[in-house]
Amino acid sequence: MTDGPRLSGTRAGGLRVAPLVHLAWRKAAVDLVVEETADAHTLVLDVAGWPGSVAGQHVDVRLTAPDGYQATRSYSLASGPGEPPALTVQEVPGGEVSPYLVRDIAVGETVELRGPIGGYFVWTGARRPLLLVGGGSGLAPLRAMWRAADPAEPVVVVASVTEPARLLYAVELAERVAAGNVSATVHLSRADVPDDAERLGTPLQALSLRTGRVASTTVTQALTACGGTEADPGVFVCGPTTFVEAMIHLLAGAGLDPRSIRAERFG
Amino acid sequence: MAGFQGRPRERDDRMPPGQYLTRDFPVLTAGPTEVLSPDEWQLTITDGTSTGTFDWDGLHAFGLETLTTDIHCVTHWSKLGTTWRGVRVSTLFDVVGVDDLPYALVTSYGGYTTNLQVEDLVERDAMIAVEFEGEPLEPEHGGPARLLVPHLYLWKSAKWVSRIDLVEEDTPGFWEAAGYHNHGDPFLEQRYHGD
Amino acid sequence: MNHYVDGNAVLGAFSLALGTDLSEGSLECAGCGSSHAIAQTRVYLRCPGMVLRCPECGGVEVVIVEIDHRLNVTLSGVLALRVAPPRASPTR
Repeated sequence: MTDGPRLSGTRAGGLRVAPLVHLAWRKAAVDLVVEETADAHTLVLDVAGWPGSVAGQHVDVRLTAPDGYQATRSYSLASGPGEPPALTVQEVPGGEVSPYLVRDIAVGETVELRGPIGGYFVWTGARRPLLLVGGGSGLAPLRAMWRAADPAEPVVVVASVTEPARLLYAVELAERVAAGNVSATVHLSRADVPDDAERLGTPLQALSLRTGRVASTTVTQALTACGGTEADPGVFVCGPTTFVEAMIHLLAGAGLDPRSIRAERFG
Repeated sequence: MAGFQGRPRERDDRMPPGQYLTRDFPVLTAGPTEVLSPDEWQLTITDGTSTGTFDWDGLHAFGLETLTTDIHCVTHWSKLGTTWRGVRVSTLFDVVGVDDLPYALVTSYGGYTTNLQVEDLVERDAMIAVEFEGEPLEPEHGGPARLLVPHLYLWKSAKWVSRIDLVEEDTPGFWEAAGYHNHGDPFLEQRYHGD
Repeated sequence: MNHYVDGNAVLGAFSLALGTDLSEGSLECAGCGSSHAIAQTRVYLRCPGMVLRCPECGGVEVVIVEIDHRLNVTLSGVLALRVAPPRASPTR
């Protein structure tokens, strides 16, 4: 029990506990809106005194209606360390918060934000290979991770989307693949890979597209591309709960200790 | 630019203070949905001396009664004019012949608990409900059988009800122990401990 | 059917409630004795509070309820709460 937020370092029975300044609600102004797909936008925010973040962390966002009604949601940071905070919001049809953040909010408007939060699903840029598996908007924290990765280490991305038009960060992924240390495989769970790849446009041509859900062969190849289990890759899986469970099953089947997999399920 | 509004929050005179009207039926749960077939379900009612256990057929032997009522969730939504079918709790208490004890602790499959005064179970419309709007009660809504105490906030209406213990001393249930009100009357807005 | 998310979703509220940063915190389940990061718990948010369940046995570990902008925390299913991460191999 508590009398509410403590906003400075405090002592409890002589024990020094970490200050929680970053967990106070702060104003965040929308600085830039990037249309990633038809129904997913990245909001780049301007937060006074933003302390920076570690790849994989998230923030809580609070919206207040004129009658005082409030709604709070958690969003992963898609921004790398040293960048202003950026959130990629996927519109959930019939949702209460995401349609507002995708359809209505405009540059200059504000939300309240607290964070960054999290110390488990994070990547500090250690010199190890990175295996990133994302379903749908689960790519958001993984973008922060590939941006934070050591350019000398392999980064292997496995993405699952229903159809090509729903892939987040396609251009950035393609650029990183072209630049060298990143490889990416994109599974289309509800669409065939078109015969005429030209139609997909330039970014997607650089990515390895496959029809159907992520298969065990993809996972095995991805692990091999990271140098195998002996290379001790950082393994991060993010997506809807059922997707994450399926991926942990495949990764364990490929020889990874499930306890070494960091997962983030968002429902 | 309208700014954030949240979902439309419609009002109606029949509603308790602080509630908004909803037309869908939100699924609220503190744990995994229990999936039980009617064959697996049973309800035990005991006062420590007299004990009765009802299985699916045993419950239906009393005949189902229809109840049209409003329901109110402490998370601020209300739903008006919902129709349920089930067996009155008072009928089952009479059959078991439980003693006149003041409190009840209700337990669900999956371990959820809630506490009530026995008068709230016998003096108004409380029932063991098995149908909602003419259909078998879905697992997400507590099927095959849930407690329904419509004059109290809906957390008192335990889903997947498995046991009712009548006791001398009141013991807080799951949400009551976490800070919610012991009684939970929506018209008195008894949301939290101390309201 | 199982509407849970990972414990990350409540780290902000939980940290505020206890007055210390629990980002790397871990819990020892009173039900089964397993230790795990708070981030690994299964969290149910579609209910009148936030319910943290053990990823091993499914038992309730922590319930957080916001009452008039105050956070009420019950730790009825927790044997130990550590502010640091769990030891390398969780006990089962």
